[in-house]
Amino acid sequence: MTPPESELLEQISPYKWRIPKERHPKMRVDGIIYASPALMEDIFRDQALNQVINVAQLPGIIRASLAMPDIHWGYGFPIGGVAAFDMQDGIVSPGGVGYDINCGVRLLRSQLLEKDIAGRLRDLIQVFYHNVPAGVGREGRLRLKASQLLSVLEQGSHWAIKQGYGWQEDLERTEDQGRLRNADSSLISPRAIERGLNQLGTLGSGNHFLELQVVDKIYDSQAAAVLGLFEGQVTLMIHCGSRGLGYQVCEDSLGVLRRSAAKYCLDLPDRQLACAPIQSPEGQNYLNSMAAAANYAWANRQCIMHWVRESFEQVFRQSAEKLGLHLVYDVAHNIAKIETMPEHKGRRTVCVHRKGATRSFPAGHPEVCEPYRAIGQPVLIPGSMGTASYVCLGTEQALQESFGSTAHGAGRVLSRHAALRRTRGRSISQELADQGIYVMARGRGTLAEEAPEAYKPIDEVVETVHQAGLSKKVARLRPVGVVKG
Amino acid sequence: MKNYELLEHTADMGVRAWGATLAAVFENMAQGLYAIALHHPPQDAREKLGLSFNAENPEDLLILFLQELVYLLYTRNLAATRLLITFDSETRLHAQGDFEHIRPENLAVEVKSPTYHKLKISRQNEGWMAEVYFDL
Repeated sequence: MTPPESELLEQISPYKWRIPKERHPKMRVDGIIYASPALMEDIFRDQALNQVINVAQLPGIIRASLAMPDIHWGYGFPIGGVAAFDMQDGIVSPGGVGYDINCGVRLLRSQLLEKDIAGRLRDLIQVFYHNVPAGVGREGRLRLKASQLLSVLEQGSHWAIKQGYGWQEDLERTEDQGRLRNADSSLISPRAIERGLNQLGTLGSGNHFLELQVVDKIYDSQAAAVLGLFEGQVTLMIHCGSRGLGYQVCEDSLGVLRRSAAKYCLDLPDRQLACAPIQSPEGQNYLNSMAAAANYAWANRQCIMHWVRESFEQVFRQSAEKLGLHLVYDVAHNIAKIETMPEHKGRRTVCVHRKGATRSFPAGHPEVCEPYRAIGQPVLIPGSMGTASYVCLGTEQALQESFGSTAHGAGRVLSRHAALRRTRGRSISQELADQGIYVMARGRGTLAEEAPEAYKPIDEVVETVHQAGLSKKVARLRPVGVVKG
Repeated sequence: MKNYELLEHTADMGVRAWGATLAAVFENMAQGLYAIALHHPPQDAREKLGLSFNAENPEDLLILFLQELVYLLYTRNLAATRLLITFDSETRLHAQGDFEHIRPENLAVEVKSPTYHKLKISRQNEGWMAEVYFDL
């Protein structure tokens, strides 16, 4: 029996809390939660801490079961959960990645200033809305054969670039260059192919979005200059994932791994934590099929960004090159990867699960692309609709403490129904318009369900990871226009 | 007596369904799924489908059944107006359904999948109850 959550925790620094492994007989490692005292109050209301404890019981877990400040209740792992597993004794679990494999964020910069879009904001948002399919049930613009989709699964963003959906330079500014090489498309079920076939190049629904933004504060001018960011500049953020294909890969994998848990005598605290030893055929098959879904997600964001570039060209009647529409970076925030981490005086290869968490590698790390290696990997942390988003940088402390991980967003606090009740009788689009934000949404209830108050305050989340040293603030982006599904 | 009710979750939603028989619980669970996924319940059946599932236990059977309905809804745009479920045993079921081709405008949210999170099937008084949370 787990004791009440308030009795579980020890505060070990202003932004860091510990659940000692002695508090639960099956915990193999401590739970560590990064949160300010204010965010901790939200976390107590949820049952996510129990999920931190559950993850701490998994075989081969290393050092700690970690939670980022945007933690909330998920399936298996909490959203905002990070855990690394030993390559020999450890497991891999779809519950540590989630259904939306490689859900992630990319940021596009421009040479435009806020004044340049002042009279064209509505035009721009309407053109984005028209050019980028969004919303539940909405099919994409691409008509692919199943054989072509297999190339997408193997090649990710590289496939999109080869087809003309983007620039060569986009690849090095994407985590893993937009392709996990261990992807094996032969593992993807016909049903997953069918679910993904007509959805490539679609935004989806829920919390996914396209957002036109203005850089309204720079915290680190040197790093901002390297990233090509400056105050008053127009940027565009894309948030989406692997669509139905990723959901089906997760579902298929859970079915297989649920049986393998019994085969390998794994004692699991939650059926949603179905897993297999990393080195087992089932574990390897999950990693390789997850990689294929991750590649689909990168190709998806790459195609969407291409149509965003075309949309700017349509409105401003200038080329995307002339408008300076360069990709700043693309991060995955639902993924499991084999990475090398520092340990004592050496290094250790581990399987890192980030579920609602962003990679945060420091300056000098070989995985950080060459243009940014001197400053560290860009970390993109989107806020909720109507609130700011942040560009941060990875840190050495994150590499040492959190397997190179930091927060991924605001994190939900209100259920969809609670958000609908809270906003009844209000016009969210008018409220946003009053703040200078023009929003278009396809779904009827989307705006109310995604109202800013349904999420944790993003400023508090980002300040927490900044103060805790897991990532460092570079710039704040203020929304001016949003497209939702 | 209600057939089902919707359960709140921080980011997602669940369904608690009741029925005099296990088959009725499965049928009512399907109604709950459509209550989450659609603006309006399906009405105009045009296509008949037969579905069969085998599993190790009723919980796995319920998840397989709901996974199939999610797949049919988002990939084939099919939602059942009527399902007639029969069990050969607690681990083997057949469903005969009348399905409507729903219009994309009727889709309210995207259900990714039913989950095993707090999954429950139990006998209650003189009937059955089941709870499933869906990832949205």
